[in-house]
Amino acid sequence: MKILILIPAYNEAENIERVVDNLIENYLDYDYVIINDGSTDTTRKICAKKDYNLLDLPVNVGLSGAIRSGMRYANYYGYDYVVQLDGDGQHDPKYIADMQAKMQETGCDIVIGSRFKIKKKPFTFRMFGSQMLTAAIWITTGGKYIGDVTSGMRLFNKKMIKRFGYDMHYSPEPDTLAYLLNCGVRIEEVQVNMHDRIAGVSYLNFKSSVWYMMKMLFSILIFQWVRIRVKEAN
Amino acid sequence: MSFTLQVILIAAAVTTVVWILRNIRKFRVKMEDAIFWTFFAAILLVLALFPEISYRLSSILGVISPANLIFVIVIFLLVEKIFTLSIIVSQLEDKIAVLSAELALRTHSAEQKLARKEINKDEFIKIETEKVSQVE
Repeated sequence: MKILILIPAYNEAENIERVVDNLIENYLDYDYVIINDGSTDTTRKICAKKDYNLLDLPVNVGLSGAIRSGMRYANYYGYDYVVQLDGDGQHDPKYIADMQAKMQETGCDIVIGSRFKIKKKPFTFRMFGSQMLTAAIWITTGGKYIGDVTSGMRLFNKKMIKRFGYDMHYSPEPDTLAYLLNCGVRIEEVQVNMHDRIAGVSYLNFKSSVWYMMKMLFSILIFQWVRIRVKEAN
Repeated sequence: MSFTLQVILIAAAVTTVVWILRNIRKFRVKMEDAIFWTFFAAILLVLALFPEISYRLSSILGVISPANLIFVIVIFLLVEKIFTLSIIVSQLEDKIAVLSAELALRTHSAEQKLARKEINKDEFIKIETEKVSQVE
């Protein structure tokens, strides 16, 4: 049972060392790979200096492209499971064991590290958006509940590695979750706590989050119905 | 606005919607573009079904014929699309250039690495660190 930690990193020079050193010191059981998504800062240099395991993309392809490279890497080297951890250190690797246990216990295909499995969502503007997406998924999948739709901490099994690595248009976004649920893919959640960003800024501002919400709602509520569904045999 | 123009607009709107849905079905189009074309079709449909809108708008803007106003709106939307497309194409061309340059560079460096098999690890890390890629 081989498990790979996938760390997509775009301009994470301030964070990457802390994140990866923590993995190397405390989590020797897991292999990891950093996907440097064409960073314009010193991310690549830091990784080369510390001799980290690095997949260095020459141009910036965005998160979904970086994930796709990582999934192909996992498939190429024969990994059975992939965990996605953000390069900014929000996600604590100590929860990977919980997520793995959940996957074994339920036999599901994706486990999401959710901030809101047990805890309630705080009432902020951003969480209102998150709740809208949760509702949209709930409506369109016949009552399937996903609390933390935007969580980047996810565990995938072999079938999902193939889907995300080799099929077109599998972005790591909420609309893909809705689509996968309708394909018969099983998704579970595990309660995790996430750290705040220590350095750097989040890329989501007000304007881009409104556009993001519109894209997602359009995709989940309307376009999803016309997509061909590649069913998963369970 | 003539009845013929109305029919053409409705037909165009319906065709656009059917065409875009077919492409979404086969995962051939990105969500951003799908949203643009859906709005495009919606605007055509609204203008066709409620001619009063274009009459009112053309009298406000001082355009003689409402049909002309519709043409202007459509041209405006299409020019916007062409403009964003041309920006995207430029960026893609640039990316291909960078990709091929990097591919050649990295192949070259891998070949050199193979040639210097006896190299020790510290030296190797030093060489890797000293390489400069892109703008960093």
